[in-house]
Amino acid sequence: MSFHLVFETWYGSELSLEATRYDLGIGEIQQHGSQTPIDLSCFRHLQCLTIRATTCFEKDIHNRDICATLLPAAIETAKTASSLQHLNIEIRVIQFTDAGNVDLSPLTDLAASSSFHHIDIFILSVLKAHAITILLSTILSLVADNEGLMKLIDQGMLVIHPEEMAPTFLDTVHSRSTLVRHPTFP
Amino acid sequence: MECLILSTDLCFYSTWQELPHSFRTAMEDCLRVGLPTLQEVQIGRLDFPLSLLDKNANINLLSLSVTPQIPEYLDKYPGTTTTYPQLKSLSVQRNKYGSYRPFSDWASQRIGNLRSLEFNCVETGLDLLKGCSDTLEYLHIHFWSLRSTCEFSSCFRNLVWF
Repeated sequence: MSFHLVFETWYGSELSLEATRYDLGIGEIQQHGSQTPIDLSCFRHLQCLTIRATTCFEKDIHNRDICATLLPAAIETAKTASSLQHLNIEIRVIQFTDAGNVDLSPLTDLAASSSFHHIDIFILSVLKAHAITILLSTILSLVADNEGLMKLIDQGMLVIHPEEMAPTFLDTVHSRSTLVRHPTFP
Repeated sequence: MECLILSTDLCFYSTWQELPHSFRTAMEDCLRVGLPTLQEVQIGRLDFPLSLLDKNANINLLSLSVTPQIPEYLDKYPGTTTTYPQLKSLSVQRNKYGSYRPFSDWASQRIGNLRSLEFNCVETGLDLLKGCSDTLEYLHIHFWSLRSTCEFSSCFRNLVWF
């Protein structure tokens, strides 16, 4: 498992997305990330979009607690997809110590977008520094102040899945085709 | 045979030439003739010569752990194919350094009917998206930042210490 992650690291070095960085000490954005990295507005038949985005806790060179997240970039990208019926957002929280520090405020933009018929939010912790799991109650407390999001949850249009992964690409393809489900390589 | 899954137990990327000669020959002979039932191909961490797939017209799904080096085998098997399999689903999980542009060129001739796409390499993904804007229905994107990937290394070092 660990070795696999190192392998990903080398090949990830070609990527160029900038994360939005929050200073957790003062609760403000330290640096804005990539703005709408992918424009999906011309994909008129796009029905289902799945975006996996990382949120990472770290200390900067001044030993300040920082949260670097690509969730804003993911939401901005999703908002450009006008034909979308189903949106999956998977948030992988790396090295977190307190679930209450996970900033879900970018999700509020989803409430304003009426084009999505259904939204699934998957939040899972990876490479945990402590034995902490993300609980549904914690996530709900983070979005409780947002009437739009809470309304979507009450209506069943937005479902939160703590400590679950979004469906894989092959799962999605196989579920929508007559192909027999084959095992995949590790 | 409907599905071909090629992978190795090695943690690192392997070249096609590193595999046993007898296996390579058998595989090349089969694929060069064409397998009419073959619909799905999954390639692990292997520099697989993708041109071997061009005679297999019914491949719908291609999944690549890493983009292979392209062009490959062009001198050995000079262009006898002018119509290529048209993929319905394509997954590209990693980008091998220096291969994304040749891979995008290779893929552009095969994704005219693409319905499902997965990528986590923004550069490759943007190129692929250009070729399927009229047909794409399902899209999976992995967003990673340069900073985050660096942090993965430090996380791993921490895990080793634990």
